[in-house]
Amino acid sequence: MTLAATFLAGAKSRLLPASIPFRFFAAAAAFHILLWGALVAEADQLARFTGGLGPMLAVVHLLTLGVLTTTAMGASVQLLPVATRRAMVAVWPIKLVFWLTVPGMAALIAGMYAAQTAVLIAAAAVTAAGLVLFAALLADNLRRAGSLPVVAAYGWAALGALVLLVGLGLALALDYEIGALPDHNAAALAHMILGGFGFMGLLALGFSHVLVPMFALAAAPAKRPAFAGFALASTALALGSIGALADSRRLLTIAALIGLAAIALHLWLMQRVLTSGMRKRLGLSFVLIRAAWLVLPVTLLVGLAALHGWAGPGGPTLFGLLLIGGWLLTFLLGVLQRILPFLASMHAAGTTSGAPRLMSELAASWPIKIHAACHLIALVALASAIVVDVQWLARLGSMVGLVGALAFAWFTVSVTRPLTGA
Amino acid sequence: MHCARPQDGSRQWRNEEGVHIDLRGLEPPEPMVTVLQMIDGGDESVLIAYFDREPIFLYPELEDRGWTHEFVPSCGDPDCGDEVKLRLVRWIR
Repeated sequence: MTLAATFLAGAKSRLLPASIPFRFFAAAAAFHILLWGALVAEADQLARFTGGLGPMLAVVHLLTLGVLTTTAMGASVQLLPVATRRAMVAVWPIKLVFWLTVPGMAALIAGMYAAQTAVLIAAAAVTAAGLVLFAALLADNLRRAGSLPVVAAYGWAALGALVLLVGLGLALALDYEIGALPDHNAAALAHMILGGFGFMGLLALGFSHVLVPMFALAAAPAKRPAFAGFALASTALALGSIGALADSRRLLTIAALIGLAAIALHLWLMQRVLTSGMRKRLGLSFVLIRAAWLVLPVTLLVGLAALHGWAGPGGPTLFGLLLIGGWLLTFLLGVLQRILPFLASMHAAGTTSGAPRLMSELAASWPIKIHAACHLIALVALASAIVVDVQWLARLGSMVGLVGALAFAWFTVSVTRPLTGA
Repeated sequence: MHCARPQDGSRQWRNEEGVHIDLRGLEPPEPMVTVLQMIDGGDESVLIAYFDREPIFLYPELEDRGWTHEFVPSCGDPDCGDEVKLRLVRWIR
């Protein structure tokens, strides 16, 4: 092996084998199809769903665990080592995370769908083990990272939220069997806040400080306001979680108001990045990302209205839809649409000699156009169905969402197909 | 092939190999943005760039602009650490 080849191997060692991140993305694409398919079948239960075992809880977790968490794991294990300059400790623990979480999630969701508590509890334990292992791997990487303090701060807070979220999730699963929790609904709301605003929300906000400037070709936001935004977001999360557990409307209201301030600051920083960026035409992915940014403050406003009984009977359901579907899923799919071809072009370069292949060669554009249109139409239809309590509209919206999910899966396959053997 | 910055500490210098730019110590995505600004705004055909980390997201941008890259072996100097040194060459004018 020549000196150059040795060096190249060392430099590329922080990029995991393509099969590692893309297995998470492929699983997320499959869960995405299942999510919309299940919603088509169970659309009549959507408009007034506020919790409880059964098909709608399974649908919610197809989205939160199946799509959001699985994608977050794939993206984190790929991007964080590159950003922090610290390779993951080994590849096999990441494979173990996949084989614990993905089958575990599938069984957990099946247990929820069929209201089989024994299956639910066993699968929750396996999934929790995988998520805790993932948290440990990320903590190890963050611990060794010397740069990116803003992203690291968000990462640590997200990992803390993940641990609490997993603990509460296990407690909620066990509670169906032994009834140990003093207030199941309060714990469920805290679980939702820790998942939606905590683990996933903080990861989304944190990675935005690197990804959005990278997409727009701009400098990262200034450190001081970025840390102020982090402080506001993590304070809002802590107060919201405590407020939910204590069933305190006052604490939840304060948390939502602080959260709105955090969002305002974050969106202002992101807007400044876009304004100063070298790339002005940001493409279809930013249609989704901008839509998600629009939904983010609306989510908290609807949450506040629902908390005070001003949002009608569908208020809590609308809040949930906006949080996990409108904000998180839309943002995540926008980012994925952008980074999948990037990552694929890098991995494809490893299978051939010379420069990476053009991104345009790796991804057909029509599936992502279909997906983006269907995704946004489906969300508007579902939100409308919840507000006016119309079942056929929910089913129609779900069908449109299913078409979008199939298009996104096609996109994922078209991106990853050239990597076979990578 | 020595990779150290000039004595005056400037990040950019020129020698017989071409223009050198030291991007170590900058946080992402500043290294990528700096390189692209130099490529988009200058007449250089060869750049030698020093990174803390492999700039994986830079490669497709280079390709789209008609530039290619190749790894340059480290100089062996302990000051170089685990830096990534790339030679960027314009192949489309």
